[in-house]
Amino acid sequence: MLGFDPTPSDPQRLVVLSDALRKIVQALVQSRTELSRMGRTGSVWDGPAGAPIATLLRRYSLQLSALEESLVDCLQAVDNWREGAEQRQAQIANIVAAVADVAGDAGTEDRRTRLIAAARELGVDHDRAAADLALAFDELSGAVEQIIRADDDLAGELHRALVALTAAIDDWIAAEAPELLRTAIALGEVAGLTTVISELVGIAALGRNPGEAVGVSDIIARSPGSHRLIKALRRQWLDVAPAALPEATFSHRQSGGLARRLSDRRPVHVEVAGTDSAAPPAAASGGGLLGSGE
Amino acid sequence: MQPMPLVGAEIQRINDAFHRVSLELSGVLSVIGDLDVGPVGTPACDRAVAAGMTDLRTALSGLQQVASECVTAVSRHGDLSGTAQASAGSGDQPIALSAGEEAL
Amino acid sequence: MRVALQIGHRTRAAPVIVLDVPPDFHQVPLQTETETRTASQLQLLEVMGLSDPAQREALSLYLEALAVRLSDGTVVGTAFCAVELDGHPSTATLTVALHPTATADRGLAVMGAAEAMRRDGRYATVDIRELGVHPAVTGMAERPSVPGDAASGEVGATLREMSVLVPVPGHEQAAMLTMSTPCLEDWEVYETLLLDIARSLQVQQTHPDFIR
Repeated sequence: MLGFDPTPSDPQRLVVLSDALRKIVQALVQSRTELSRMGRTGSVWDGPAGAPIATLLRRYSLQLSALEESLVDCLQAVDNWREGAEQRQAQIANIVAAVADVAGDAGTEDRRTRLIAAARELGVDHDRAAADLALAFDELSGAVEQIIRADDDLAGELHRALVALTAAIDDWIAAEAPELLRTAIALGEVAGLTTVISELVGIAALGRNPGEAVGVSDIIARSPGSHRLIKALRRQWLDVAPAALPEATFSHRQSGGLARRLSDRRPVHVEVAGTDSAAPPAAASGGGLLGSGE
Repeated sequence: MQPMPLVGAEIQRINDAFHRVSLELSGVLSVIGDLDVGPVGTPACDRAVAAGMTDLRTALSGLQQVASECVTAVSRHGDLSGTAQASAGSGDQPIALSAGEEAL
Repeated sequence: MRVALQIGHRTRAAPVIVLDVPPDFHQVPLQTETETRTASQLQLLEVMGLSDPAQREALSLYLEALAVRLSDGTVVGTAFCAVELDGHPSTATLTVALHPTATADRGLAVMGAAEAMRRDGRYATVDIRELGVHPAVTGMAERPSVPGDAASGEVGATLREMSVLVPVPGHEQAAMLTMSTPCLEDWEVYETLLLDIARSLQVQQTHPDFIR
């Protein structure tokens, strides 16, 4: 009727294209999130030894991210284009109907000309909108070009970084493991010795025979009242346990909420004999608990 | 160098992540493969859309290949680090190996 | 109340590690000054509400002997709780050490420690975890409380313990915390508690006693 199509567009195809782009964006987000999680604070890759690995993961993740950003722009452009095109096509349909109405009527040439001019005007708008869509896809091509240009041997670098990490861990173990295990053993021993207090308080029956436990006999040997301590340890205290023990404040079984649960926060402080501290190492000064009122 | 199952399990998590990425990208590549990008607008924008989608396919294909290569590379390292049983968990979820598993 | 687990000389410049510990835990007094330590010991006896004189004396002797024993070790603090949990008496011990790691790389320390603890074989399981913003290693062990029990034919109460190693951010140190209990039925509670305590680790640049 008009003799030309001022608003070429295929809404059905655009729906299909939009769905496909959405699926690809979702897949990229999923992939990127998975990799980003690996190098976050608190992960084992969060440190100089793991940094090369975290960097490689981030690099790949950024490539996915760049593609994702371009695709989101494309998706937006496709949706905008489809919406606008449908509106313009509806307007053109009205114009075509109006042109059909006046067809054959004498003296309506001016109206017909105005209608066709309006259709051409819509065509110009349509072309302008099409340029936005084209631009989004041109930018996608640009983003792709950058990704392809990177052309790095990510897998090879990852392998080399993992080899280096394994070697660093091996070196660390060789130098530090014996002392670490001594500390771990000491902790276990002290925990065992402290548990004796619960026995003395009368709420744990450890079935202990004085002298058989190396740690306890050592403790007794150092005590000025050792004979009384031996006698005490032979006694069963459960029958004189405190009548009323306080109910535990930590008995809720949800994890991660200690700070919230503690009505009476009681921070424990340990001074760090760190690189920026003038304090001597722990063993040099002798450990100790210090209570301070506040 | 002794086996490092616990470190191996952490490394296995990277492997798992790249494996999942590879699968995701394979999935979208087949979506693009099935897509008929015919005319959707003016000839100029049709050309841009077609070119963009072709480039997108190339990029996704390249990224998928890199992910697959990373899976292979990390797997090689997994061998270096001994048996690695990964748990897919994160956060507080531990990756646990009992002391006896090293002998397996 | 604020309680300090102190190592080294307390100075304004010395940063401190802060851990949130429930008030149920009573610290074993380990101060080097005898008078302060004795006062703390007496205070603890009062808090425990023990009426039996022999029991009070035994605990007093033991606390003092324990303080002497721990005076030259790497363990910087030990505390116990004696509480009612789900209607029954329960007890556990929390022990803290500060261990030099020779690296400020927390990931390296965690992975190295995890492998070292696994190879050692004394732990039934060793895990690498993320506790909030801290990578950490946990090791769990179960052992009779009295090593020599086998010879006597008697089996002592089993202690279950979990150790957590948490590298201190920005320092070549790791906090090692061990929770130990003979109350195996309450293990889940104590395990959760230990992980919460480890998760709460923070470094303060100024000693809390100097904060006004």
